Amino acid sequence: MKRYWERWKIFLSARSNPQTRERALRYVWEEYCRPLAWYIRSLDPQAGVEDVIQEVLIRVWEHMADYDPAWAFSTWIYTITRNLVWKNTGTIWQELDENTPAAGPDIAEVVQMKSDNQKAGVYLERLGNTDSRIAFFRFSEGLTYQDIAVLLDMPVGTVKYRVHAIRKGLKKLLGGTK
Amino acid sequence: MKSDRILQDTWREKLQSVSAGPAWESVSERLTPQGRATWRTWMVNGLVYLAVVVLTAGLFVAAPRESSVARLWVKVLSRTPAPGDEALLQKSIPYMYKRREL
Repeated sequence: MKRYWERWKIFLSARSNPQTRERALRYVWEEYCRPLAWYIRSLDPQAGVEDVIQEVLIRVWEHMADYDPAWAFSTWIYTITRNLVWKNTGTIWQELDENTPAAGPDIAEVVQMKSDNQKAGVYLERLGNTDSRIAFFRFSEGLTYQDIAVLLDMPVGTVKYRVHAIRKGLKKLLGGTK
Repeated sequence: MKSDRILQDTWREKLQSVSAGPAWESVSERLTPQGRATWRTWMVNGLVYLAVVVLTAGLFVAAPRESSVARLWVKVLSRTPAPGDEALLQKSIPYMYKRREL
């Protein structure tokens, strides 16, 4: 539901004059620069983030009229980003399938932390690549399970299960350290 | 849910520490005039809508002129009522009944 209105803002702006289109693109730049930077790094830590974001925004500009408001705008822009990063790196799906947890502070360090947000921050750092992206799309971008399934090319049931597991893991960490 | 709220807040904080990306100026200077194509799209759409409206109006105005009932309606709609209209209306009633029987 988050950013539901932006679908129509982008859709209508794409059919308006160039100044309105440019304003819409500026809105996209303001809203999506940081999330895109995170997503690009998660896809390819070696990628030149600024260059990729510029390319993504230029593509959005050139194809804004093709945007279908039946889909969330964020799904569209993340799909463009993913395809662009893959095109640059020649990545294939299998290379992204690994879900190994990243190295981070261990549980003893987490116990020392006082705020729940700090603990959650550590928890997110320790999630595997796929879980990390699922958590990003679900909790940061507010995408639906269907949208996440399309973006990550996995069944909706798997996405729901992973989201449930992420929530459960966090609850366990917060409950277990109190 | 509490865990969802915590995760949302944590993501917000996490994204704040991510680099801000390219400056707007460097993006805007790369924008091509291709965006102006939407003006053309808009104008083409407008012309199509206009053509549809004109054709529909034309059908409503021109096609009924074939029948006397339609002529009556055109007269009724196009000028203020006159004594002759009533007679013309009476004349058209049997025709309307005939249409129903068909």
